[in-house]
Amino acid sequence: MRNDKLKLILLWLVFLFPLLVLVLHSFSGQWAFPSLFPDTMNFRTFIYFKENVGRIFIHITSSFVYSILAVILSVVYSLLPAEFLSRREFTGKKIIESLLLAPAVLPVMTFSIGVHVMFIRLGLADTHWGVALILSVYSYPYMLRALISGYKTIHPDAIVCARNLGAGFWQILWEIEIPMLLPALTAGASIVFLVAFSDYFLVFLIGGGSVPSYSGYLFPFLNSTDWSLASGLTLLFIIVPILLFLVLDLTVIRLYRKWL
Amino acid sequence: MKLFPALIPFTLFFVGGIALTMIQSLGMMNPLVHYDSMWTAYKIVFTHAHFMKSIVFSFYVAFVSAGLSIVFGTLLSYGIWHLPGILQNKTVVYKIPIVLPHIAVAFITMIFLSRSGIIASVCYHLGIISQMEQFPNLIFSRYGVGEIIAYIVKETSFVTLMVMSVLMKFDKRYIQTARQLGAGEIRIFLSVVLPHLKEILTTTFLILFIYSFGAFEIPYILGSSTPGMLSLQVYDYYFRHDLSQRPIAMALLVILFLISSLFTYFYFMISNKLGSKWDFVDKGKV
Repeated sequence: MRNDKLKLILLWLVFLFPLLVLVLHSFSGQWAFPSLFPDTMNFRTFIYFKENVGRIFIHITSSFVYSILAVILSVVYSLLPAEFLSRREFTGKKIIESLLLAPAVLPVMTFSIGVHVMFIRLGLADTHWGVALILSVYSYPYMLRALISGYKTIHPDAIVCARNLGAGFWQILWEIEIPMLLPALTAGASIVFLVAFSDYFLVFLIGGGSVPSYSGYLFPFLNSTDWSLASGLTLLFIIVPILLFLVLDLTVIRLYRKWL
Repeated sequence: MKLFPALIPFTLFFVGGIALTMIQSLGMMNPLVHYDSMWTAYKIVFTHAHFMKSIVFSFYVAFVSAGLSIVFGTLLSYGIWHLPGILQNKTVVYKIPIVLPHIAVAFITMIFLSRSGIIASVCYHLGIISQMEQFPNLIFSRYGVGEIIAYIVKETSFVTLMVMSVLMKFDKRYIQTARQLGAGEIRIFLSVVLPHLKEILTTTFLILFIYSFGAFEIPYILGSSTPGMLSLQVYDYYFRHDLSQRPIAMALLVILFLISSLFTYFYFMISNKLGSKWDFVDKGKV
């Protein structure tokens, strides 16, 4: 047992160490080779945050907006097909399902550069909608997959029962399916949001610099020699999705308990 | 038909994007290209050694990083699984790299591996090196060390997550029986546990391989341009060369697409055989 506890502590140390180094770096003034600890410490990163709070806020908000749009689009694409694929059996179903899931498996470059050419002609390049669209193409399979397993938990008789009692399509959707799909929706939405928010390449390709994004804001710092600023901004990058998940997890789980 | 909503992104953008890439690789839709034959871009790719080197290099980086991630991830999950139940619930920390963005992982790798980084400093204090230049240039190395390590950092946790999902359903009595029959720890792992993990390890390997083979972010931050991964060559020819060179970028993309499609086909074949076990939903976190 003692041995096991040691192993557990070691596990935490190994996985938290890189983050601790990032924290240490964001407080460091100078940290040159071969010092094991920062030579000088200061709050330069925080002063930078304070001075640039407006710009940082705009970039994070913009990333939020297109990531949420991508989540909404993925729900729109996936809701009906998920119901269909979870309830029907037909020949070639596996093939259709595999094909629909393929955009998440294949490297994004294979289709996104072609889409870039298309978006330039359609006037969608350099717009939030364009960025949200390309992100949703790559990430909707996660939502589809989550909703297919979600629909499998709803007994078909529940829907038949509701229909016999006179409920229409929208009423069934809003009052029966959506509440019961909530865990699946949350799981799918978390992944789609995370994928969209973390992405650098697609936003850079389709957004072309005119759509502000936090990953695009952060990127030049990662390639610079100013590791303390880069570390601080990276920590902020990591904190945003983690916070969102905590909030989402708490609220949705509570709502779900209330409903059932 | 109810499938229609999903056909919008799939047909219009996914298939459409790939089709446009293919068309452009043949030199069409481009006012500056006057090739004698439709296949000129492909001929250029196949006759220039640096393109072929790039393809081989991408294979090598993807294969080594996915393979080592599988090894480390399996060992880690096996270790966690051996912990008593109460402690097992306290191991969530291993999931951190799953939610880290790729560019963040690349940056962390740089802080650790570069010549002025943490590991170089530790080596100095241990007396292994006496000045910065003696530390090998791991970032931007010809052997892709930086890229491989960044992918391992990112992917090991994902493998652990996947393997844990199978191990959780594994009956520990198998192991007790094997032990009573006199099998050693290594023997138990190799001939009792590992056969159960075969499918999940194969599908996870394929997912990781396809991802690393074509991904852009980590090579862009940590990779060298010679030979450079395929994605970097595509980027170079699409953004940094003039329009007349664009069919070469597109031809490289078609090759990337064909190779990854082959592996994707294997992936779906194996995972469909597994029934409805579609654990790859979590891949998004990788």
